[in-house]
Amino acid sequence: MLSINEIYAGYGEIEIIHGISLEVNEGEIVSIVGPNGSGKSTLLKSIFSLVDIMGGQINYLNSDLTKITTDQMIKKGLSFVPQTDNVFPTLTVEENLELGAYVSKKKLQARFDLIYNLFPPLVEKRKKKAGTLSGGQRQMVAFGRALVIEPKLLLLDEPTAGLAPMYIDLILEKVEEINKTGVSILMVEQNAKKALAMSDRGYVLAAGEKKYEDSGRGLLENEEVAQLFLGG
Amino acid sequence: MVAQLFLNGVILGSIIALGAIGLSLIYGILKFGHFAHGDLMTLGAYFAFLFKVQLALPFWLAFVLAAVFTAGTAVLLNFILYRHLRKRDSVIVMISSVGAALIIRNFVLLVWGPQNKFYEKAIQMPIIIGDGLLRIKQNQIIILILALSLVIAVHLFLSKTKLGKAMRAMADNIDLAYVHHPQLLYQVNWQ
Repeated sequence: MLSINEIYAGYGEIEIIHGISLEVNEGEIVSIVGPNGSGKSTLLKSIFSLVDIMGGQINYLNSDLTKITTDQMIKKGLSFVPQTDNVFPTLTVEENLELGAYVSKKKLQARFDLIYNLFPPLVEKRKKKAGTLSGGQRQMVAFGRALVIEPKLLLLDEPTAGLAPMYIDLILEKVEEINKTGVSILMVEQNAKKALAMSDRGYVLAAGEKKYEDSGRGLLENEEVAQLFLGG
Repeated sequence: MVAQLFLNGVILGSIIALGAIGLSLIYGILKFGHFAHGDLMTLGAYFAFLFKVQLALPFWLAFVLAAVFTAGTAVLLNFILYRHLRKRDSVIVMISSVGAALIIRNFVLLVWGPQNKFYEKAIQMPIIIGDGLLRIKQNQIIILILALSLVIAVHLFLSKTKLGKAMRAMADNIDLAYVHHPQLLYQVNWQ
């Protein structure tokens, strides 16, 4: 459903991604791992046109994402959860979720039910300001808001970054649960081993280039990858 | 005496409160100090003078027309000035608003002159409360009620409507708002 073809991207004049190709098929969980500064987040942001694209194509459901507006991407079921600052702190949890999409009240209620079902701790916090929540709960709000539009492909930028250990496994479990409802997932993750273990396929980046690609298990069992990128 | 001063302060404060809400909305969402805001308020008062006194329209019609024309001027300012500077440093936009303030101020002087103007010249008798303790005039009551209603209306707009919530979201985190509703941002920015 998503196919990135030789993409070059960066900020202004500085090129960070040097010709990476990548694919996500329907129903898959795909992880992008690699050391700090390898361009993982930049690659993810390039899909959503949040960085400057210098060359290459990004095809998603028969349209070139480099040529359509962010609004059109959202309409096509593409949803992005940023790594940091991913909630509106002075708005309540419910208002945060509402801003995920402009849909009818009835439809919104159905989405709320699904989101609260997935993240029960949000139910009692729904009238509380998102800025007062813990890191893990904020991440739940960010996920919830991305789910309001009924996405087909969810882009997650380091969903467990800065979370307490108890939340890391929980959030990754939720990623799997969301995937089981038919949503494809492309995530950048610093907990490389955990991410690859739950992924259908994975890509290892270093210095803005793709170094390895294989099934999640294949990458975990690859000794070279393990030694160089997964800490032995 | 103290009670009367307090009442006068509340009335004057309620006029300033309306301006302050607009100013803080602009600063919160578009992140620049809008120096022409007070001048826009003045222009609104002169629009009211134009419709009420010079064109002799009924009070309520003049009130609505003055509001519409002032809002129109603000939109026009955005179209001819601020939107072109949207990607520049907020200090640049702020300085351009000082220029806009000077233009509006001198436009008022040019059209209506520097003398004081009056909506009504007749003497208005105050309502006396508590055996002469407090005196309040009819127009002061209208100012108080209108200011209070407008403050409540702005609060309801920001807390209950989708556009209002989106405006608060923009003030909170403009990059995140862009990820979710780029189109809405253009609406809020009148682009």
